[in-house]
Order: sequence, then structure tokens, then C-alpha cells
Amino acid sequence: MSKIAVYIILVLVFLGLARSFSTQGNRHTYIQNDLIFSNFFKGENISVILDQIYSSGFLIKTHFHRYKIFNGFSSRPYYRTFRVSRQFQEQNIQNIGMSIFRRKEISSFGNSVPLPPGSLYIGDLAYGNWVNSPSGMKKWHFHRAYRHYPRIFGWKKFRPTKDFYKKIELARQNEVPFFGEKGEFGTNGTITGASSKAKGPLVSDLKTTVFKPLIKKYTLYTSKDYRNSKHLHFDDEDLYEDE
Amino acid sequence: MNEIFDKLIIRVLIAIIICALLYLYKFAHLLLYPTANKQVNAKFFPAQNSADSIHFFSRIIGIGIIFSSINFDIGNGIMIGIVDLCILSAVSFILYLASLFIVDGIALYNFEYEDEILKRKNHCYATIAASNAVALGFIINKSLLTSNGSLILILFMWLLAIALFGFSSKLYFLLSRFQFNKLIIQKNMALAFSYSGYILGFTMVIVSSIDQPVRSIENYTVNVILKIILSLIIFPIFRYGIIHIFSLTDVIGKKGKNDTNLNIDDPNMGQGIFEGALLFTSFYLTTVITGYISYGKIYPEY
Repeated sequence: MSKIAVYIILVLVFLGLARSFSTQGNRHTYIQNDLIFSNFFKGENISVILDQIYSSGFLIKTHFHRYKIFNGFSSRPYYRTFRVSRQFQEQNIQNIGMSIFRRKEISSFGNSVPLPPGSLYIGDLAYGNWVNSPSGMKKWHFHRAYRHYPRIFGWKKFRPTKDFYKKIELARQNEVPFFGEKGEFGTNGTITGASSKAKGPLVSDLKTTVFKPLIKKYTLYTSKDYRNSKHLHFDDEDLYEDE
Repeated sequence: MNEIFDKLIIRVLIAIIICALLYLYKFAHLLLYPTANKQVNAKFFPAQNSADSIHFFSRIIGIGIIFSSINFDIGNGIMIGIVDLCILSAVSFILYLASLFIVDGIALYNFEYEDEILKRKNHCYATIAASNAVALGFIINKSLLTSNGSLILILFMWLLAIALFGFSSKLYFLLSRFQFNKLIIQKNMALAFSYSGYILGFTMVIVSSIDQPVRSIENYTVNVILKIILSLIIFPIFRYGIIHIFSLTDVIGKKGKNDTNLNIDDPNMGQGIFEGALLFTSFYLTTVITGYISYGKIYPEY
């Protein structure tokens, strides 16, 4: 019995020490739900876009969100990775590429309804205006100084119409996620879905076995370090080089 | 062709220098063992006392293991390379002999070399001392490799490794059923095999633990200790696994019964080999778990 007790104490000591001195566990801030977004993302004209979702680990999974954080006053977004709860991960599984938090004024709490990226800046005349398109509809056009915004938001050739904007406002008021009139945005969106899949997974799934590198490794007939002399270092050693 | 001959001459020259350093190593014993003056200067007859031969040659093997880690970089000039070699060799000799002195004081504090080797020709004592010497050779070898020539890091790693080695000497009494001091006095070789297997196995664990990059001394120390604790957690899985997989049965006839309360008064060679081989294999397999798993993208660096 005492051996088992010693073993259990050893395991606990190891877990405690490893947790205390681990850099991995302390690297990422933990987010349980969207209620704390307001405390993390400060400032005005700020939009947080869910860039990627992934999980690491074998049996005990750790879930992560990578956010693209964009401030209207800066020219480039920055990225941050957060550790999230499993429930929050599942809640946002369809929201990749969407704006999941935005704040217009510094005094406001912010809004965390999932909406198309860049929806904070649509309809704001400080950033753009409505232009008549050949089809007769009014489409949003950013001012010259902000002409790079569609690229940041991943719009490609998409430009929101006035109807689209009205639907965004309606969704925001009703606190209902809006993925676009024809499902353009979100994980399976026709616009954002393609770009998120193009990035590929950041972690490998153990179920996906990659045979090609394995077979290549088994059939190599030279090793990586075959030219390295283990102990004696000469410059450009080659015993068989002709004079 | 000139280049080939020239490099061959350099290799022979370095081999001669190493022999000269080994000659110095022989006299370095006098630093810690001043009374061994007569022995160091006299001729050695291996056939005369086989216990002394085991004890003597284990130290030569140990220093040979240490020298296997030294790199000779003569790219900046042959004299620089030789000076570097001499400095590292001197440091290695001092550390190695100091280690032997300390470990003999911990593990074999009840015994004296003159009594056990020269008078009683105790092969058990000689084998235990030999396994300590070889084990310390591996530890200093890895310290030299990991420190990359830095004398401060060598000293620090050596201190850490010796502390761990001393701890391992005491851990033997918990893992083995043999009565250490009594069986050495009885010259029982079963103890020698058991201890040798154990100490060489645990040395592999220590070597695997200190074999990691040093970003900061505090982090390094913590990581080494964590690896040792992890090894102690994983070790019983292999130990009991091997016993049950191969249906290993001790002399009492109870499969897998390894009760340390049941001390064996007069073990035979087979029991000693069983314990030594089991402990060595279990520790060696443990180093696979603690050292050689590449997690790849399962835990990516973000």
C-alpha cells in the first residue's frame, strides 16, 4: 500500500511541477465565452474576426481560437491566439471568417453577434459610401484610404448591397447570426469558407495517416548527416577528390 | 594525395597526444589518492589479481568513454586544437576522478579498496566499482557533449548529475531484495550483476535527462528533475510489464512477486542476473518514453 501511495505522490509532484514551470500552458489566455470579449478587446472601431479554430492533444484536447483583430484606425490587423472552452469551440464551429465581436464607440459594451466580417464599417460614411452599380443596386464602396479593407476582410470580389446592410442591422438587433444572403460567410461560406480551407489544418489529426513521407523515409539510401565527420573537422574533407 | 597523407599524419599525431593525456590521467590519480603512489608507478600484472584488473580497466574504459565525446576542431590551427583538447581533457580527468571518489564514498562507504581488492580479491566489490566507473564515464561524456565546451556548464551539469547519481545509489536499496553490504562481504556475484544492471540502467535515464538544450540554468534544472520524476513514474510499467509478459518467476515460485520485504540471504547468480537484466531493460525502455517521442503537430508551437 505504501508503494502505491509513494507512486501517487510522485505523479502529483510531477504534474504540479510540470504545470508550474510549463511555458505552454501559460502562453495563451483562456476565454470561456464571449461575455469577456469586451474586457480583452479595448478601443473603438474594433472588429474581431474568427480566423481559425483548432484543437491539440491526443485524448485530452485543448481548444484554440485564432482571432484577426482589426482596428479601423490602423492599416493592418494583428493576430492573437486564445485557449477556449469546448462549449465555446462548438458554439463557434460555423463562424470561421465571421466577425464575432465589434465595438463602435469606446463607451459601448460591444456586440458579439456573429456577422459578416467588416460589418462594423458598412454604412459608416466615414469609411465609404453607397455607389450605384450597373445592376441598379447600391453597393458599398470604401474610400480610397480604406480601399484595402475588402482584402483584410476576405471579401474578394464581394461588395455588400443596401439590402445586405439592412439584413445585418436586423440580425444585430435581433441578436441572430447572419451568414449572408446566400451563405457567403462562415465556415461553409462560399467566400470565407474557401479561404479558411486553403490555409489547411494547423494540427494534424491522428486519424489522418500520411503514408507518403513514411515510405519515402524507408526507401532513402543516404542519411542526412552522411557528410559530417563526427570528431575530426577538416575544411571540405573529401578523401577521393582528385588534385 | 598530399592532403591524404597530411591528414593521416595529423590523425596519428592526435592519437599520440591522447596517449600522452592518458599518461597524465594515470598520475592524476595521485591528486585524490596520494597513498596510491607505489601502485601508480609500479607495473601492473592483470593476470595476478583479476579483481584488481576489473577495477583497473573499468577506469580506463570510463576515460575512453569520456574521450569519445571530445571533438577536435583544428580549423583555426593545430595548436589551438591541441590546447583546447588539453584543457577539456584536464577538466574531464579532474571531474571523473572526483566523481569516482564521491560515489565510492556514497555507495561503498563501508569498504576499502586495499581490503577488498588487494587482500580479499573481492570480485563482487570490483564489479560494483567497475559499473560505477563506466556509468560515470557515460554521465561525464554526455555533460561534455551537452555543454558544448563551456566550462561553466560542464561544472554545473556535473554537479547536477552527481547529485542524481548519488540519489540513484540510495534508490537501489528500495528496488532490490538483496542485502547490499552483507553480500559484498560474502563476495556474492549475484549482487554484482544486480547492481551493475541497475546502475547502468539508471545512468541511461540520467544521461537522457541531461541531454537537452540549456536556455537558462533554472529552466534546465527543472526540466532535468521533471524528466527524472517522469522516468520514475514510467519505470514500474515496464518493470511489471516485462515480468508478466515473459512470466518471470523468482525462486519462491510466485510469478511476479517482487516483495522487497522478502530479503534474499544467499541469492544465486541467476537471481542476480534476473534482477540486473530486468532493472536495466526497464530503465532503458523508460528512456524511450521520456526522451524519444516527437509530438510533432499534436502539440504545435503557435
